[in-house]
Amino acid sequence: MLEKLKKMISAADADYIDIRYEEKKTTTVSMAGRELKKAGSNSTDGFVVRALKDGGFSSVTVTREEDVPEAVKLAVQGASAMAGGGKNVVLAEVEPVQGYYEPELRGDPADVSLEDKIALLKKYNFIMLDQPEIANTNMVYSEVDREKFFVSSEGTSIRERVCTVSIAGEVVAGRSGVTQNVRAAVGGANGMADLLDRDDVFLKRAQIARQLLDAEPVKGGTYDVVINPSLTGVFIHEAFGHFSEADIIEDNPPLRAKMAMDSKIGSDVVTIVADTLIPNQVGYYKYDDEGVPVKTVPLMVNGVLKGRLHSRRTAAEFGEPVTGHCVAQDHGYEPIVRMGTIYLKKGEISLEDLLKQLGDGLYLCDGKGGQTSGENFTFGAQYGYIVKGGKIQEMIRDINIMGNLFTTMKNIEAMDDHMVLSERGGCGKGQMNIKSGYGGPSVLIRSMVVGGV
Amino acid sequence: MEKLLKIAESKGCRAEVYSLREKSVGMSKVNGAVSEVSASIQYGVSLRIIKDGKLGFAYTKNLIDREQLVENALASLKAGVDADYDFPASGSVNFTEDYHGEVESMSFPEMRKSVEQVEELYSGMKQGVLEVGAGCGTSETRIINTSGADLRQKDSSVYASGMMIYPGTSSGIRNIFYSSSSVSPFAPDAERAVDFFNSSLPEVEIGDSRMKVMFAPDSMYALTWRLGVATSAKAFYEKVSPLLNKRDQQIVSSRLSFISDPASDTTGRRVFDDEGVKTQRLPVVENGIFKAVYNNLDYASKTGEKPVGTGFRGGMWGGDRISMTPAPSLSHANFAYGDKSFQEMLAMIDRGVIIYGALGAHSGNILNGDLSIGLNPGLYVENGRVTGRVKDAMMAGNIYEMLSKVIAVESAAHYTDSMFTNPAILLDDISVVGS
Repeated sequence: MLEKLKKMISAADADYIDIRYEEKKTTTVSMAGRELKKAGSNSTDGFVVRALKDGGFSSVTVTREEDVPEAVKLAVQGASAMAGGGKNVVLAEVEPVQGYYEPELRGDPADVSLEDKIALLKKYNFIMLDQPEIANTNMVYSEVDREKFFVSSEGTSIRERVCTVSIAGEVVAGRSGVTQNVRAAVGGANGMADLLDRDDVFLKRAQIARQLLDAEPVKGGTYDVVINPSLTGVFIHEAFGHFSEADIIEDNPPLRAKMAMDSKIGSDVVTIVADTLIPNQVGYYKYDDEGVPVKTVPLMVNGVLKGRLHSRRTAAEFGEPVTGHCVAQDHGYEPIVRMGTIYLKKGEISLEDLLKQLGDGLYLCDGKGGQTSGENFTFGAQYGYIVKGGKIQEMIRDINIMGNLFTTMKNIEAMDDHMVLSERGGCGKGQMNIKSGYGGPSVLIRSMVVGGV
Repeated sequence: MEKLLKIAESKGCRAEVYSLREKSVGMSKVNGAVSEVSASIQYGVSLRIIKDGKLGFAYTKNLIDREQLVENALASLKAGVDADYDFPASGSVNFTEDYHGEVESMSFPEMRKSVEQVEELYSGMKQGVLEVGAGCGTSETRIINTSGADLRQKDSSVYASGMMIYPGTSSGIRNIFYSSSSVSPFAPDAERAVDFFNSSLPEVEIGDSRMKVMFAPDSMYALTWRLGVATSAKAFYEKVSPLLNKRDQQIVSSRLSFISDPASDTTGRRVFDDEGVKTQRLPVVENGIFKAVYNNLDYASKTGEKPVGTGFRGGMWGGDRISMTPAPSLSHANFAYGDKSFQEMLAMIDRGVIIYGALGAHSGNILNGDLSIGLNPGLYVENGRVTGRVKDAMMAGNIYEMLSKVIAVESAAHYTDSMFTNPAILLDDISVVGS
């Protein structure tokens, strides 16, 4: 395939051109309540062509091999159309790579039958459905196995396989017309072993959903909070992580100024690292989708900005090192700057001591989605507790937090000594990235705006 | 496609073949410089089969090996997914009214000209970042099934957009202009947006209070999402909808009607849904009264109701239609117009906010109708005039309670980024939490 790709772009009239072919095999099994809704495996493939000409840069995606010549032509035409009236695109220089990566899976999902995958999903689904007052579930077994072939006119040639599995969804508790739901998820990029013997996870999620039926909605206001590792992960990903993606800030001069290297953004206790190379994590990959080996990037050290995530284009634009973070959802998309694994470094005290330091406030648990818009962010917590005098009191629900990145990073006061990384990714930024891993310890933040219902 | 159908039929299956070919080209410009040029040609075929009351499904982006595709669908029968329905005998339709051939040949220079025209509309903005874009595309859908249906639809679309972003942020005010042939940006919408943008440059701290809240068309999706989840036949079949026993009852203000009408949708008409069922006008909520649930073939069968032509592929945020099976969908539903102009509604606000963007609309208990969103941006209004934008503020409530407090609905609708065309609505006495 690599030789075929080289031929496809060999005659292009461009200063630079690359092509990525990808075969994506997916297996999906879904259940709604006690009913199986979908089960099967499928395979799709497609090509992404990118061309640079006279400072213009353009991309084209096609699904059929017969359309590749038109894609090459369109990419060059698009680049030419941009040239002279747009940004003068330069790609940061990189050494050509001849690469191959095949993950060492603990149980290759390709070797497991569809029947066994259905049985596993059913087992966890029924563990939840069999609990008292559980009204419904929506659960999905998802397996995405991508084999990628990348060739560039600079001589880079890479074949890489990335494979993720998950069992995830929601469990809904109901009583007298009132429902409460929480999310449940296990998974990773380490093979089927990530999914086995996880009964306790699903049992606990069903129990939390039921407990929420008796919880009170949080009263909107400004609180001091401790967020647990799951929520910390969402917070670091949403509030800071996206802001460290160079393409998010590149066209916004005030934001670029605020995010200048060596700026003091956070409190002294805050250290954040983008480490996609942590083994066995959902965010792990070796080469990004423009053929650059990924690097570990310290983004913030003791509150001071020290790094940023880049594509080759943004690295050149910012005059900073390439990092290998230009990633596409699949063959239907051009790559853009994305996070792999990002985490907040843990502290040295116990959770108990962290709550004592909090005093009165809220202990908020487990992310329920989040979103960022420049320096503003919001994310939901699946449940939480009122804390009085450092002691956990009654459960609360319907919790959403909003904040400003710069204010909040300076309001981080302490973290505990236990870090957890997410098992499942899923970040939308025009396209989905299921390999966005994140995490951290429990974190004490002062003065958060919490919206209740 | 016919060969594929025959192979499936020869294996004793009822079958449906869905094919889609889409071509699109787009260009965007940031602060006067072209920032992105991209194109896409996507093709795909998906196959659903029903055998012995069970459903099988398979898809491909390259229809090379038809036998293998049928084998994949047959293999998925093992899952035992029930299918107590047949594919509809919808006859033959070839709908091309929204296809304009000239769109196929739009060139990059033409697109650049279109972008520059949009850019001109926003020349009055005083500060911030201006993002403009333009694009065009065509799509061809065909559905054939073993009940004899042969349904084709070919569309073209052209869009232009402008977004003014506040200095130092990523939030702003956006306009979308859309047509099936050549797009003509609507200058009054852009002028109002520029005026509001300039007036809302100062940040305002509002504290916690109750006030009037206007949902601009761009943020209405946060409401329709929750209403849609609760009125789906899926939520009724699973008995988890908060509206289970409320059909024909008043659930929101009588000023509101929420109607699915795919054949009249100005952002892409559909005369049949993605299962080949003829679409129809379906008032889900009419004058505040909950009238109907929407379904697909599967949930129509399960709930004992007739299919209403709302089985569409693609999720809330779009998605790959080939790889997704049809589900109950309100992707062509909008709120009906009211009787007040936007300016009249603005004049009704003594103190309040206009929500132009909802941050975090996907979190919270959506099924229950709970909503807790960041105002991003939220334009602060005093005595009918925009005087700033609120800093770090959230709005929270339950949509059924909130939508009972509607005091005005706009007499026009606007295209939005989410491709819904909604009017603005004005609510009274809503909790807003600010810094």
